Amino acid sequence: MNEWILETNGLSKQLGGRAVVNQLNLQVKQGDIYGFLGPNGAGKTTTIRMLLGLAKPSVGSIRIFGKDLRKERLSILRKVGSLVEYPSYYGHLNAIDNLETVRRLLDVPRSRISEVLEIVRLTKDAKRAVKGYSLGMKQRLGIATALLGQPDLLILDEPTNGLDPAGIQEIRELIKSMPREHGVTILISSHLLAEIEQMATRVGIITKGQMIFQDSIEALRRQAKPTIRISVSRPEEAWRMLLAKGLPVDWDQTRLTVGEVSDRTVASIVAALVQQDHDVYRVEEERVSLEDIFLEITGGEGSL
Amino acid sequence: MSLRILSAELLKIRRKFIWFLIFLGPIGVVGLQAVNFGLRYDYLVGKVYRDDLWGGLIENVTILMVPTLFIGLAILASMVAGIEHQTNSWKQTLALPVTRTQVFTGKFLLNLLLLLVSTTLVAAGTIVLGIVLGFGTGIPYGVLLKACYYPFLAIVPFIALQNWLSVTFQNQAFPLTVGIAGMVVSMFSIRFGDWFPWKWPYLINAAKEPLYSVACGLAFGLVVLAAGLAHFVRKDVK
Amino acid sequence: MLALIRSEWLKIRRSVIWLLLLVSPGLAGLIGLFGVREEQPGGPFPWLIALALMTALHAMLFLPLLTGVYAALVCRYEHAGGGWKQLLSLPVTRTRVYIVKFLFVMGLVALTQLLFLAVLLLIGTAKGGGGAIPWSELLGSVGRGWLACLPLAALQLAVSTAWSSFAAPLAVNVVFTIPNMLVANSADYAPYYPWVQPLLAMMPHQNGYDFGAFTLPSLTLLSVVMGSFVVFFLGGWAYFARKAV
Repeated sequence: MNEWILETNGLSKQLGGRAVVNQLNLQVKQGDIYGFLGPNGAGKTTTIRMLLGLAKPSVGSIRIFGKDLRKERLSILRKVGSLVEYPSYYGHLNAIDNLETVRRLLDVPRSRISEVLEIVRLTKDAKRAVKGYSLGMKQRLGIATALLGQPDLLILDEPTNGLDPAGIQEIRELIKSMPREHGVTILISSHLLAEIEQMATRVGIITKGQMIFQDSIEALRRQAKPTIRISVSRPEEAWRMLLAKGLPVDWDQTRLTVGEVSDRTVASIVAALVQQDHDVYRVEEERVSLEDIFLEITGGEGSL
Repeated sequence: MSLRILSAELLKIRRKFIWFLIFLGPIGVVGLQAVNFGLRYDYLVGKVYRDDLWGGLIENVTILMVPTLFIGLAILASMVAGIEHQTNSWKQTLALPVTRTQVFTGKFLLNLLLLLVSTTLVAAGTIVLGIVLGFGTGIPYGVLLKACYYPFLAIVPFIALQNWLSVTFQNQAFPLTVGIAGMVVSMFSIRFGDWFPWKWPYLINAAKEPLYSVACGLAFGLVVLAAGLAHFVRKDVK
Repeated sequence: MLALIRSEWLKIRRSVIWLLLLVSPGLAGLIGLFGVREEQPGGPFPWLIALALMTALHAMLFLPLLTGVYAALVCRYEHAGGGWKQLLSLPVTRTRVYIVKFLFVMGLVALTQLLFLAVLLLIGTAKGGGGAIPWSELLGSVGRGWLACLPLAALQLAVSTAWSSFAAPLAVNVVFTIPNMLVANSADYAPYYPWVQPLLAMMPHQNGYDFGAFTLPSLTLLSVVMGSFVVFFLGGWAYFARKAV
């Protein structure tokens, strides 16, 4: 058994002659909050359906908890909680009965129902028929259902769909606390980087069915290299002077920028400028947002 | 305005199973009679209907057509209303600049129109079948057209009823079961009095005047349509 | 398996299904109540005539069509709220899900049959036929009718899992059931037509109904019923096991 709690190997799905998912190697570690990112229609949901055995891969294999999904689907699914695309519910039943239909299949104690309802704060509305719920409440019921079996792995497909800002915040806090408090590993998909950025430890980015980036969130952040922008009274003259002193400065006729941003370098540049009587108006750090990187990596399509 | 609504409704059912059914019903009814007459040709053509071959064929077609109409209109109404139910788009349809009366009558007219197509196909199919069976070209057009279109007119209350039920209930099990029950009950309607609406499409009454049944159907159809309208206009939409 | 049955029970417990169960036995009861009186004023209650009359209404069209409605209903709440994907991502096998759904359809058919029997007994007793109830004929008729619904339930469950529309599976059902009106009269073809089997199976073998296919040995009927059941059930199951949700 290796370190991956979830691992796919060359996972592909053909639909109508088109590769919706193409040679995907997804790797999720124990305790990760894995952000599965991609624009709408990139193949996220199709991948997740395959991870749950709802759709069969055309090629490739899936291992969860070190077991082959094809061979040991039931024992795997017992420890996986999921919410796919939009929440599933039986409209004519109330929240408790909805959870009870699932509980009877998972064989967990009845007390879990009130626990998960408490977690998603639906206790108050638990006795109303679900068809009268708002979209956000249905979404929270979906998350409660996913949590019901005390899963080791939680697979959430766009879980904040339809939630208001307060609800999003709540779900985010909940998700962040899960690995810490219960040792749960989480795979969460989204088309919004901003949402994932605040909770994920690892990120996989998929577009047109292919994985184009998969690493820690820090590695993604490193791609967003900051630069220092300096505005001075006589920039061109300052640029020549700094180059002559062997300091790494760029001049593009409008802006003076420094690519390397160690404190020591910046300090030397500022000192040199002051010594030569340049007026220093501003020294600013400029960051490329993750959003920009995401757009760049995915080729500019999608993300809102 | 009504025409525009109707054309929008027609657009919605393009490339849907609905059109298939509109053709399948008549093909089924005429096809079954083709099998019936084909298998028992000597008996039916040689003995039972020897004196009036066309009359016999038309009678047999009608016997099958009326129950099929009863269940067919229920399925049709359910599918037409189902377009909105399945995609949860009642709210969208009713938020358009059209009155609810127009939307409801639009659905009703669509049902009416599609069933009219089916009925016409039955008439056409019967002619083809008769000629293929070698009944000659002395087709009693008057008898045939009455046999096909009178039941269609007398069944209008049920088109209005099923349209109403299918639009009202999200769960189509209820309207469809009413439709099934209606079909079965209609087959036993001979045992009831002439007041019994399920009897009208069979055109049987004490006065032996089919037009009485048709008139009852049309009049009561308007009543049911109006009742459905009155309810739909006041109903809250999810 | 038991867990699945209990879960399914919860979903069905609070639905309109209970109302639908009453429709056919209720209408058959009305025919029994008013129809039989006309034919036999006074005298002992004619059990088998009543059974034949009520069966004509109940089993020729109602029972086959209702079987389809039940099948569509046990799939409806899965189609409507995205239930399939939730149910199938739980630790249950598809085969078991399919079998349990099928058991519920047949369970509902069984309840319909029992209600039919109850209505008949009620009418008969009320009309003074209490003493000499022909139990074996009545129970046999109701039981055979239930058996004859096996293939229909299997086919309808298959189309109901495939289509989310409620009316489409019913349309399939109607297409095959309408011919019953003609097929029932044909001694040559009726024995081999699955949709007419409930009628043949329930009709008592005497009292003027021994024409057409109504006098066939039950072995032929049984093999037709079981044969088509196996074909339909395996076909539906194989489809469901591979279906992408």
